[in-house]
Amino acid sequence: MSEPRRMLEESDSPLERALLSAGASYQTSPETRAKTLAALGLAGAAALSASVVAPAAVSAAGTAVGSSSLAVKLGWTKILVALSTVGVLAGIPAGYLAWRGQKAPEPVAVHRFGGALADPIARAAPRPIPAAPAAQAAPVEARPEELPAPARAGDSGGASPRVAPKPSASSTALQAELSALDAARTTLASGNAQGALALLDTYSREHPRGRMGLEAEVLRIDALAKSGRPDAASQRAETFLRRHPNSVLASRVRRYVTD
Amino acid sequence: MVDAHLDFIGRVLRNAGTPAAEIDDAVQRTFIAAAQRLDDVRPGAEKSFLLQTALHVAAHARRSAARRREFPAAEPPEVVDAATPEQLTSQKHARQMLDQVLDQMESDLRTVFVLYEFEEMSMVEIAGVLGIPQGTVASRLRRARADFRERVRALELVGTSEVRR
Repeated sequence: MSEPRRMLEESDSPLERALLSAGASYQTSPETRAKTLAALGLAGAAALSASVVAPAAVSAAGTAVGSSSLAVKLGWTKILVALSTVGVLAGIPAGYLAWRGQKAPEPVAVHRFGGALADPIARAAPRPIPAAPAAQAAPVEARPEELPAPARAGDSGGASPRVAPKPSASSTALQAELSALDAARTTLASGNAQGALALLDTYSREHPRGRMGLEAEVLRIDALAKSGRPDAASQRAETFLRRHPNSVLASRVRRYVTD
Repeated sequence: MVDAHLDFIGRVLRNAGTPAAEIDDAVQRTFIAAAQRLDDVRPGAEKSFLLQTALHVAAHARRSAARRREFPAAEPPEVVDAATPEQLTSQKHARQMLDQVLDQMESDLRTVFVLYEFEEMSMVEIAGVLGIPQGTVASRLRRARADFRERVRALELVGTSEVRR
């Protein structure tokens, strides 16, 4: 069965091509990558092969889980608890290190159709599609990952042209956040919970709307519990779960909630 | 594994209907699920496993978003603002329009469309991942393309009529 050419290659409609290009050029942000690595609790993720990642993470959590096959039997919740511990103990710096390693030039958008895209979009944009329910759920602000990027579909790399990186204020800020959380995590891991709390206070002052705010809060809850303030930890954990019930990080703080 | 497939998974999640605000969580859920099942995944089949997981996560995110839309007060309606002509805004609009078009497609058609047009997977690969016959993939792709073209054409007409007024 012969396969048709991709619409992006054969379409005569500038708007069609613009929309298809928007879909093909979507790229995840460094922040998403850092958070994913933090959630997985990977130390030096870039150097680890997929086959050792999960067991290493689980054993590092200090749990009874010895292999990922056992991990499967234990189920989602227990795994997340295990991973959450790792995330707090190792994930944040891992994300930081991995992110720093990736410091390489964030790809900047090079649109396949260049400036020709602005017109069809502008012409078609005046009002939302009639009866388009999704319009209500779409984000209002452009997120970094919403920006078209050169790499098309496909995994890493690819032959798409990329232009030189430009230093980004937001990536610098993210790096500062990750450094601050790494310091707090290290301090907490050394047994100095009060010191970790002080560093987290500094983080909150310096990054009041920080992108790693949820991760910082999880670290704070852990630090409160370890500093002999289980009630405060429980209270913050409850608040966290109320505000972010569906967050991946929710499982990390659930254990601090006292009945 | 994360580095090799992050962009692919993020793109599939987004194009398959995960709201932008939930991408971080969705990507994390996908990779955590993969880490859990690593021993069950045949060597070389990691990408396929991640893709199946991502489609599942995206379906869940779509359903959640649909439920939220039943209570409009939870999220303010968005109006596409065409007043700012900068390219960044155009790119943002392109993404929003694409979301609108894709969100109106049937879920089965959307999945095949996304995998074929954006991920450039072959019909055989898509059939394997979705567990459906290749003929069904071809049929869904034809219908998805026709649907996409109609909806984009409608967008163009709306824009043209606005200009003529």
